Amino acid sequence: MHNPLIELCDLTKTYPSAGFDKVLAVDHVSLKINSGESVGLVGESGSGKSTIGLLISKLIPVSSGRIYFEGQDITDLSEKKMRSLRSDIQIVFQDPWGSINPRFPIRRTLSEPFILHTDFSSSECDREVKRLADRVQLPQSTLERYPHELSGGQLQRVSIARAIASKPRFLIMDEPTSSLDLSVRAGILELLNDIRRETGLTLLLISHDLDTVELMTERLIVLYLGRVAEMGRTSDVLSNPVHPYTQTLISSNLQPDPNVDLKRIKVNGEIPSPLNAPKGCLFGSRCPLFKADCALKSPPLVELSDSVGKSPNHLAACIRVQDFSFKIL
Amino acid sequence: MLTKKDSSAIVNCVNYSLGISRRSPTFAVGLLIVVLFLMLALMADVLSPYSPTQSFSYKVLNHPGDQFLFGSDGNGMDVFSRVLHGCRYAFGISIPAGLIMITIGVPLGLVAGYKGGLVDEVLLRILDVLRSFPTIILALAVVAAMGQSLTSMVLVIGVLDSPIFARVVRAEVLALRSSSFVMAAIAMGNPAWRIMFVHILPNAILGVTAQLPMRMAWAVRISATLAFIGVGIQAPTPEWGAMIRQGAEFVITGEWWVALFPGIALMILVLGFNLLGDGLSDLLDPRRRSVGK
Amino acid sequence: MSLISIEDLHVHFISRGIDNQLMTAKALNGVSFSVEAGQVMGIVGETGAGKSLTANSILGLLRPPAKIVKGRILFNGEDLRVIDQGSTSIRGKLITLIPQSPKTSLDPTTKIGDQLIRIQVEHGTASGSDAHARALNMLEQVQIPDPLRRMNAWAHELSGGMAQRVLIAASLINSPKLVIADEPTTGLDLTVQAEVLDTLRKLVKSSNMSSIIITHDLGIVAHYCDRMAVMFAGSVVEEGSVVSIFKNPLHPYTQSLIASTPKQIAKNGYKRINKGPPDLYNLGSGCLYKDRCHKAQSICDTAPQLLSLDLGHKTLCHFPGPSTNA
Repeated sequence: MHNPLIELCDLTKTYPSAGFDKVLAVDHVSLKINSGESVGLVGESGSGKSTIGLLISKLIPVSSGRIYFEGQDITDLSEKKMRSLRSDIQIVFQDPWGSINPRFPIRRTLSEPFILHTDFSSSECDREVKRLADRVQLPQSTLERYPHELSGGQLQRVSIARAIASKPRFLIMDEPTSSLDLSVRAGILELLNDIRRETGLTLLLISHDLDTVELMTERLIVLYLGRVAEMGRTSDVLSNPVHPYTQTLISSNLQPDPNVDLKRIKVNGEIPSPLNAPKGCLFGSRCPLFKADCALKSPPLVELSDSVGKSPNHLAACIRVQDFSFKIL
Repeated sequence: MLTKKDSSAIVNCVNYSLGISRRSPTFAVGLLIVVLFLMLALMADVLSPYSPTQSFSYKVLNHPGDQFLFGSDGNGMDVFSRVLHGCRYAFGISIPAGLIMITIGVPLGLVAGYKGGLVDEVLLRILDVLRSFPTIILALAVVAAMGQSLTSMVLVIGVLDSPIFARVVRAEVLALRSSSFVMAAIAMGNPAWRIMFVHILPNAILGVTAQLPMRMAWAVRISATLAFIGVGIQAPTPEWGAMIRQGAEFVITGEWWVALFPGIALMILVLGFNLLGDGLSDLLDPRRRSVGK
Repeated sequence: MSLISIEDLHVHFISRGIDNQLMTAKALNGVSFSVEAGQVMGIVGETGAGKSLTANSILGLLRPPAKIVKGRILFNGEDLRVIDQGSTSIRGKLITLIPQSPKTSLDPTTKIGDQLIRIQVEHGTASGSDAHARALNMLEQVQIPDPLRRMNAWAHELSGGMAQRVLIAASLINSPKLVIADEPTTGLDLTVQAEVLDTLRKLVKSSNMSSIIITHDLGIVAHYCDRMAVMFAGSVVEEGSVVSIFKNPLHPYTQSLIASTPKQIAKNGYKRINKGPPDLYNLGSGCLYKDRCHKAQSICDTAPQLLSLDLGHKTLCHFPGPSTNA
């Protein structure tokens, strides 16, 4: 059995806040991502999904828990040692205008991975940059331009090109299409699909859009206030959601088809502030299925039995599964 | 005859000048003044009717008139020629001083802003100490140690004003440090020095660009002040401050021209620098960039 | 007579560039649509289509360098352009706006309750304790929990969803005839978004108000709007009932929008659209979509006519109808 490419063990990230309180952005999350997989991480605000992306790419320090890359513990790796691994783990951010240096022409931005990780001559660099531009379908003329002269879609292609330049094993995409126009999104998703097919790289797609993850991912992890609510095969989780939060989320997703009947599940109130998190199950304060024992302790993430999960490796953190009273609709 | 290429280049120039003046009249006026004085400084020899240090012993304190456009001073030297040559000193001090300010202030601000922590705290305290020192006393001390010369003046002014640049750059760096392109640069595998000097610096430099002319204005003023109180450059060197110092005595006795003309020149140039800096920050303000949707 | 009718609206942004050349951005190029009483109209389009600009034009919020160069905006028969824009009789009273970014659209220095009262007093709809009671009532109607306490809350104490509800309350408190919601759910979570839209719909329908919802989200239009107008490069390329347009999109742009949703991609594969948004400073003549259109032919250099399918389903295209490449 191969080692998973990425493994998170009890990963936790806390932020200090006013007074002595702490905000648990990521709360003891454990998960595995296998080589070649495409995994989706969904959640709403406060879920910790972006934070996990930043933690895995070591852009912010871990509070507790461990991160393994190809079996190696990279949690406490010094920045110097981490640099050689950086060519293997890359991240594409949500905002294309913010994540590319506005004062560099595109050619310069795309040359950087080669400058940092290879000892190519400048003509070899140029050749690789041209090849990259072609790979992501950017016209060669954009290479001489500056970021503010490009459209959002083109910039996001630059971002992707930069990320794949060093031929990474693992690519994290943090809401790659959220700030882009509708008609442009499809192109970016198609590009990602192509690249995955060609290079077999492992993808972690962080998104709040269920339709996008359905299209792009094989496995899905649903987060709520820093904890894993449910995870399993994407098609399973979306067609047979077990956790009440997942059911609520899916029912709130507006399909662009007026003929689809929306069966919305109404929940109480809004996502509580992380400072005010309820005891026990974090969804308890809003869950229509709440019972007293839900507030006793945080429900463990358990594998669902065949009668409930209908496929292996489908896990959910809800104790109402035991008494089969978890279906809302 | 102008070729077609020449005339279209000229039309282009005119258009851009009008366009920029429309965006920021302050910049246009400031630039005009500074460039004018720069021209005067460069052509001082050509434009001066007399040598600035040529003394006409029988024509001391003459009224402005046919022979001396701005009159003559207490040593019989032509005020006009001296004011023109004073331009050279104004630029000769403010430009090198400006360079020193940037060379010291910018890297300090960059490192302090990026590294944060102890380095930042230490730097801030040093800057606080520098700022709380009365400029004049410090200048006196340095000049006493190094002797009165152009070099010591330039050094004093350059060092004294570098904290401002350090502060401005530090503020920009703090803002940029958490932006996604810096994160992306780290994720790319950039070592810290590359992030500071290759990535952050070009973006942080904008704030500095607008500050520079204003600090140069201050440099001109402070060197005049120092000369006025007797530190730094002295007569017969045609530096405006020194000239005003000499002229101050004569104002009471009615020979107003000795102090007035260098004073006016000083005022206009300082105004020009300030307008230039102001206008520059207007032009570079990213908020003005988008027009329409 | 329609409640509001936009007729051939043209808005240009005229300014001088840094090279002193006159630059004209043609932001709206003949926008025409109408909304009846009690209807909810959705305006869809991408960045630069002119959706927010249309709303601002209706509300009289255009500032130089923007200028209405042609067209009319008829509200109850009256042309809004000739009404004094400083008056408070229409804007804020008969036509109100729910702006984007809820957290920054509320006055940070005034309590929520006082803001709601202020709006009534300014427009002369109520005053004193009457205004207070109506404000409280409105907060209840938008389902703000514990409304009495919230009357004394400050803007920054509210979450995004709550702030948006307060803005809805503010827009409805003077019983307007038309409410314009500009991207009302941007920045809101999925679960909150649906609730907010439900609240808006309930209140609008219960008082027979009309509403214009501006959005780029086809899901919102599909479930919360009766009719929709699709905008591209400052003109309405297709208008009709939501059911009719989703069933039978006539304009190639509408077809490509629908085809770009992930669900459609899963069914039909990717359809490549490579061009960026149109350059409003350099629009060509004729059909504004021709550079991106797979059906474009030489006739598209002339302006397309408005063609009708039926029942008010109209489109501006030389070749409307189902897509030729499956």
